[in-house]
Amino acid sequence: MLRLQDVNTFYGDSHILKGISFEVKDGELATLLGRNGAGKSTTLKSIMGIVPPKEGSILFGNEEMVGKRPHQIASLGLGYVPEERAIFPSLSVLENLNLPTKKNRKRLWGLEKIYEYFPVLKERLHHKGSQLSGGEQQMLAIARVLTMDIKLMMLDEPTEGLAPFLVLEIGKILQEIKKSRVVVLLVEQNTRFAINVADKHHIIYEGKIAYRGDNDDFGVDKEIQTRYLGV
Amino acid sequence: MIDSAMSKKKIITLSSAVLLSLLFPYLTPYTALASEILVFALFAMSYDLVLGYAGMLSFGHAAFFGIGAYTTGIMLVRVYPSVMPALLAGVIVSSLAALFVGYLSIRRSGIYFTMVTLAFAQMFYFTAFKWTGLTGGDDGLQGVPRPSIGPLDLTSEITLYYFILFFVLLSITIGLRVVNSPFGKTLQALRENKDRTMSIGYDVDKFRLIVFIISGFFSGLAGGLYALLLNFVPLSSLYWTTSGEVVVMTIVGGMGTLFGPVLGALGIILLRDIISNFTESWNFIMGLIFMGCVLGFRGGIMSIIRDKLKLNV
Repeated sequence: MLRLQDVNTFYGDSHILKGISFEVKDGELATLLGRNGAGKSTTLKSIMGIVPPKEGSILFGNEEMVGKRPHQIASLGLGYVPEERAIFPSLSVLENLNLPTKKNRKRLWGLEKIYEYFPVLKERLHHKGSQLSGGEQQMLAIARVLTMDIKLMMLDEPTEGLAPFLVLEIGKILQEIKKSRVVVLLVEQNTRFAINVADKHHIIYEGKIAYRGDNDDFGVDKEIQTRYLGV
Repeated sequence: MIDSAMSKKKIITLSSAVLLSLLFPYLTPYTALASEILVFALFAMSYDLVLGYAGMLSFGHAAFFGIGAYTTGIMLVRVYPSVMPALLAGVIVSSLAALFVGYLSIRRSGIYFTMVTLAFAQMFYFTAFKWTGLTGGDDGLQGVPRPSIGPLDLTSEITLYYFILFFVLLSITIGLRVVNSPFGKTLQALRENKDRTMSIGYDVDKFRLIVFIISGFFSGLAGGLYALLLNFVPLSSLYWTTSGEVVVMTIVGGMGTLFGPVLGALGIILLRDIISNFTESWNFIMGLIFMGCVLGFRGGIMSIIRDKLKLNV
């Protein structure tokens, strides 16, 4: 589904991703773990074309993403929920949800299903994005991507700063997204949450993939967790 | 309940604004002043589409205003003395100019965008300055006639006022439709965050270009009406100070509101007219007002009015 091969990305002169290679297959929920500044978010931004890689290849299905612009990549079915509560503060909740406005577009989840899984949004449809709490904004950011016709969803630390019951909610939503046959690539700092939801893990360390493994192995491998993540 | 009360209040506000605009020329010291306010209200409104809604600080909007004015003027003076075709030519040429400038500048953002638009506007200014055969150069384009349209005798100042008012009300209606449409919502989204808007599949540059052209269209219309109003086209209509004025009007009025810039144009032109009776240095006072607005009330006149309306509930 998604295959990165030797991806090198720079911010100006600083070399952030130093040859990242990994693969996420159909039906998988995979994570990118690692300490702050390891290059997790940059990996997502490179896939999305927001920070285009200098070298390497990113295949989505059979199509090369490197060289495409973000809006083209998005319309091929890549959904991206960036790190900072990625909503539009001056638009209402409903306007945020309808923002990908192409008429009669295909949606992964219809609004009814969105309201079922995000009941809090239904109550606040006509509130502006700026009037939502942090947790509600995060829910809205995730919900908005689910209204698009996506095949792969990338989330950048969706649980950051959320109350424990909201983290549980997001876990449930991720499982439901998986049932919709959407591949999920999750960037996380919260290792326990990652182990609870994911099928396999990749650890980025200094711009390279330092570890990859299935959840069954990784979940019990305290040594790896301590070495790279400091848990 | 609240919704219907709000919309009732909106209707009352809107209809009193329209009524006021009908009586307006009888309230100003002279009719041409009211007409000038209308022209700049239209110009500021069209500028607000770019600055307030799309978040692009163009410092070259004099180009579209001036090109609209010159094209309309040249049509009337040198080609065919009929108002509607001349205005039409004005908006077409200014829209094309906006397409040209926009295409080359929207890829840049922030200060670079601003500088590129300024550079293009100055280029048009110097072209008009040098090309005296076509534009009259430094003296401006003299003797723009106001031929009648059927029974409409535009040489009458009051008739011209209502003629201009018609176009301004029409433009505001269209402007409101634009900003409340999905297109308008997308503009606000990309003003707030370009990366996010791209990530949900929008070609941001395309949207920026389209709104730039729409803005160029209405700026050109304002310019064309300005040529009719003055009976000539001043070279200063293309000068960077005109770009600066429209920025000030929009910010003082309250950007991102469409009506705010209309009030900004009203306030600034009225004050300028009054102050310049007493002193040559009205620019100094305008500068103080501008600073006061930016430092004191960021939302401009419109934010004050909104607060007041809410308090009245």
